[in-house]
Amino acid sequence: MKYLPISKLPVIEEEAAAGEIAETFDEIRTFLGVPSAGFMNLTAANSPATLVSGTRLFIDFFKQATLPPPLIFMIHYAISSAKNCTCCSASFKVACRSVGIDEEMLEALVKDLDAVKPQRVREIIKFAVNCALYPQGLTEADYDRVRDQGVSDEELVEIISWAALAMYNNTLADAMKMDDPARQQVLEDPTG
Amino acid sequence: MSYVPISKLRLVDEQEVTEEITEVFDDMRRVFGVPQVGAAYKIMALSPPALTSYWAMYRSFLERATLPPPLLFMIHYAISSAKNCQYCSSNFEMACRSVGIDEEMLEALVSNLDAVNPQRVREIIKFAVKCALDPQGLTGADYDRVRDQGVSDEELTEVIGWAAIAILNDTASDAIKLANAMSQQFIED
Repeated sequence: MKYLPISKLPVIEEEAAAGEIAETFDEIRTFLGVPSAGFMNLTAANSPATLVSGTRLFIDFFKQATLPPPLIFMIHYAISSAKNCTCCSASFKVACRSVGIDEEMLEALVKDLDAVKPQRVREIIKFAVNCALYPQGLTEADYDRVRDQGVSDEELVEIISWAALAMYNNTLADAMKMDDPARQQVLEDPTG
Repeated sequence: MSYVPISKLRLVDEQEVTEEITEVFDDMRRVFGVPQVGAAYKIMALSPPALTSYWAMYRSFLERATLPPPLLFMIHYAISSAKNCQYCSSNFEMACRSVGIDEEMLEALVSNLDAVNPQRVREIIKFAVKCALDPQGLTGADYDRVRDQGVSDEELTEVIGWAAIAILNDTASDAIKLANAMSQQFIED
């Protein structure tokens, strides 16, 4: 058994999983097209409630979303970077690259949202980041700026929901003490 | 037709929604035991992917949760109050009252977590609030304090998952611009 540093939460072994947990891991691998369900899900699996609910939220949203995947990935990357969530920002940077987002855009998403182009994408991402970081500070003008770009109320609610989902992921990853998946350290002994 | 001030987002009419959304609304009424679907859900229904994925998540969590509902409600109430989310704190204050949480405890949950008793409940709620407000600031000692109360890894991960759900709820409610659930004023135009 392996454990995460600090939280000392066990990382569930994929091969040893059974029943609903094994089915959920399988669903995640199939959906993402990856060989492993990933550290975050393997740790969330300590609690079936947390693993299954989080999987339903992410996969069900993503499968039905009307916003294009690159925009969804960029929003999550911008929010996770602003929140300093190492795990989620690294994961969504990879996701952005997988759909062809270039280095200039990746740089703009973390350092200068005003440099994001085109304007419609810029306004949507700035609005989403505000939803995540300062939802109580949103003013009528913030909603108007997004609507002025032809964003429908259906899309507006989808953006708000995705921003809230990014906050959920950031909180879950940070509270379990996840690191960048590419450099995640694990302990062989929880007392270590 | 009713709209939320500031965001100008519309509450859908139950007569206009698809069969899928009607099923979600019916399920919410069954699960919550209420005659009316809350305003937040009627706004989320503007985006079927947002509403259906949210409800699948929320229902999945409640069906599998091992922590007792009063503890879950108290955690959410404490987090939403600390985040100053009027809609969620109002809703979860009502949820706490519905399961018999008394005034003294409700006061402690918003004003002084150190006054929450018994100790096991206090440590779980304090840990959950820190997960929500300052997850990057959690130290090994924070996890140890909860484990010292006999909390298992499954329960610990469930507390973290529920704290994350509270943050999702607070963020969405505030970004939609829902204020106090009891006094929310909608505009007709």
